[in-house]
Amino acid sequence: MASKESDFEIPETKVFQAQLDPEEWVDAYGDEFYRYARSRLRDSQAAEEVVQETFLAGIVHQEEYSGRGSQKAWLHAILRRKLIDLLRKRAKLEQSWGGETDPTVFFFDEKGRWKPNTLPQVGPDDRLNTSELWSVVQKCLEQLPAGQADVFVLSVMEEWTSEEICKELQISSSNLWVRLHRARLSLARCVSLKWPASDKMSFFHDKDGS
Amino acid sequence: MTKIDSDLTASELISRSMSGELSREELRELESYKSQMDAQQTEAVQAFESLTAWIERSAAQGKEDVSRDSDGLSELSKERLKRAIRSAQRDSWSAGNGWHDTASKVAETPTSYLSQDATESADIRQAVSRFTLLSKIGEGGLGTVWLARDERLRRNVAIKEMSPKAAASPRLWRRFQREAEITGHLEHPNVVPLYMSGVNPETKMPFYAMRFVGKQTLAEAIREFHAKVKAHVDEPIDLHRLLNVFLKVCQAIAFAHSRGVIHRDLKPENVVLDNFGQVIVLDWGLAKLDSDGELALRLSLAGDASNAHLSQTIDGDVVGTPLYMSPEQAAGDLDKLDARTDVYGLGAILFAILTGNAPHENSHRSVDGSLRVEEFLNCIAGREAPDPRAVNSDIPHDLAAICQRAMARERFARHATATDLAAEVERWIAGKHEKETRYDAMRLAGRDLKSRLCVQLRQLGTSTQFMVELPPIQELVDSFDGDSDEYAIWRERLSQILIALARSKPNVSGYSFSRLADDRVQEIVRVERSLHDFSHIRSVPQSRLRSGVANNFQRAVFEQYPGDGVMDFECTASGAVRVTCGVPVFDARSEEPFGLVVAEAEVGNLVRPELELMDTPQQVYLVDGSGHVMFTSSRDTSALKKMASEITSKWDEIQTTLVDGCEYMDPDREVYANRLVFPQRNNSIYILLTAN
Repeated sequence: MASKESDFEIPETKVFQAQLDPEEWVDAYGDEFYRYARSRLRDSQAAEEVVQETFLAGIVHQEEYSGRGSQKAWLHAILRRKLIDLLRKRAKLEQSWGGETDPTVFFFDEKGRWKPNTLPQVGPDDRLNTSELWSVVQKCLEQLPAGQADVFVLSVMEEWTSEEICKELQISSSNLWVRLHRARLSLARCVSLKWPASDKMSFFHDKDGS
Repeated sequence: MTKIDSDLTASELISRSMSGELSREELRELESYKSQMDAQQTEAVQAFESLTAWIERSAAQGKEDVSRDSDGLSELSKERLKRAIRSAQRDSWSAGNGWHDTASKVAETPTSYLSQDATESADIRQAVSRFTLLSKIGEGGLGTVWLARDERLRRNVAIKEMSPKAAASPRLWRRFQREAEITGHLEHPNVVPLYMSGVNPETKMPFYAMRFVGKQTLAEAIREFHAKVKAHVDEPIDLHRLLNVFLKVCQAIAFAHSRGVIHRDLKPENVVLDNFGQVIVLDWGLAKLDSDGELALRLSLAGDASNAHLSQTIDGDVVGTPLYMSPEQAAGDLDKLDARTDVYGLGAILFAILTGNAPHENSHRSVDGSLRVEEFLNCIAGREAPDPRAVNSDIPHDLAAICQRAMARERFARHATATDLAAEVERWIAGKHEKETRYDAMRLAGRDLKSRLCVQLRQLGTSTQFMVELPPIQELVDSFDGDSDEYAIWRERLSQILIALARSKPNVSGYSFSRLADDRVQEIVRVERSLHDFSHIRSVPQSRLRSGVANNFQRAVFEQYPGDGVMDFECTASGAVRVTCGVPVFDARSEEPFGLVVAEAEVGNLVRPELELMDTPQQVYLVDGSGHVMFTSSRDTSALKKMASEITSKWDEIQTTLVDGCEYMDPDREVYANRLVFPQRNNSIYILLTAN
């Protein structure tokens, strides 16, 4: 797996935090690590467990920490490895990924043609609300099947290449693209349902009224 | 290569192109497909592309937002994590080989322990070689405690082995020996039983084996309890459990005192709890023996090699842990250390249970926040007993007082024995149940009184509204500026009706009908109960009727719509407090406001009959918004003074609680309060009950 250290900026506000005793890790890094893990896993309990595993691994492998980088970055790298381990286990367990929740039926007719007015047009003013959109997207990600949401998180948030994702989750390239596509369609549908209505958007409505 | 045969296939390619994973050929094919699309297809593709791009941009930005999100780990989760880390650190140390996870390898390698004397019999060698080290439990100034397996009896034991560094000091060597000897001679359920002692032939270090009593210390249990309190998920039973642990520690110390042993290092870290409620006091390494105590005598008769030093204090030792140290220990008055020093230590443990802090945790810090030992010890030596309520005002006064007495600076002011201290805490626990029952009764009485007063006030309001509808009122309005004979007749009739009405309402003090014009009030009819003869009701002669500038209450009534009323209370010149209820009177012809009718009732006359019916044993006080007592059921002036001072000290807290719509609950269960609100005047009567 390629190292992704550079894409996570860790502000060290206090110099003395660089070398904390393990007992101080919880107060110093616990909240941030937990939030990071939860945003990737969308599961509070799993996030808490991953943070605990990270700290415990940090204790066991403490002598491997060279002291050159910050202690927080070193622990964060462990956290990322733990996250991947969990995602891989989850991918193995997910036998019937996305099969029962194929969102393409909402967008395409039986001939594979786009249905009219299934998605809103995003205007320039809407694009300004990207940070507000993120909270909606987070809620939508929680509703997605884990198999779809996990590949979306790895691809978009972690910026992994398709080879890396396929290798770590042990899935084929075609599987990956179908999952990713379904994740994008599901998110687009979910966001269009949850985003507050405006004059510029003609919203998608299910026939069943959802 | 993908052959695009539908919008669905095209959308998959669009999706891949967003990840930058499309070959040139695929891109060309996609563009070609797009160029053949009709308007509807183009609109759908554009909508999908723009919305998805927007979503992905938000996700890419959102991944950096983790530090700004407010929702982190809960206090309970943090406490759980910290415990897991502490436990992992112990396991990691037990590997004894850096940070590698080699604990399991250690467990697989039996380590033999041989007897102290190499010439001792092979039987003893066998006896001590039966232990297998499993993991390190902890490490202190004297040595290391290991979890070990007794292979013969197939049970876990704890083994404490002296560290080579400590063993280099003859003084610490003696202390270790003494710890083993004292622990071995104190046979009590709350003192850890010692199985054997000896010297490890491999390391040449002394050791002793004792029962393994679990890993959780009282310090951890206290931390957990206060984390729960902070997260508002604590239950009353949690404190009760900790107090029961405290009682068992008192019993263990009382037993040690009876054998002439003073612990001298009591702190929550030296108390271990197991899952079945057993409490064990550890670390008797700093214990002192009374020279004429039973244990010193017994060891002396046994001719123990180290007994010459047993009753002596070791000069230069830091006796005790500063955060829990008694003033005589901090002052270095080592000859003054006796059983009452342990009473102080027990008080310090109680302090930690109640507040979550060590008693001297915030005693003395220099400007830069650092702690200088010498200054710190001086501060403890000269310091009066710390007040737990200064840390947490929710602690009941009497429990805090027990803690403070145990921690009095002067030894004579403390409980004489650990048993006395335990007995006082036990009495508090028993009294707490009695107090809870008494408080429940008080709360019920308070709620009952409030609802009864509400009924009384509602009836007062109804009778005032009834007055407005009386025919003489409108006749008086009509004849006010007209025929004086007719006016006099209707005035007389109204007086008669109001007198009859007042007779039927014994708690009403008076009724009046007034004209209000140009911000001036002029009474037309007024009937009132005599102050001297309560049964006598009179109509006030015209010459004594009042007139003058309208007050705020009258103005407020005058501004109401027909049928609406205003209720308020006021303090009269005689010192009595009256509830007044007013309803406006309108001229039926002009439909303009003409005046007002007012009914008055003394608060005492409203409350007293209800209290007689309720037959409540508590003292009742009615207090206005400034904290002035308007009514009291108590005839005892000293009780009234005490209550007045109690109200003054708690008034802000009571008001804040009641403003939020809750009932006030005193931590000592001595005071209950609720309030009656007069919304139109933004006024309240506070109902306070106190236990007798």
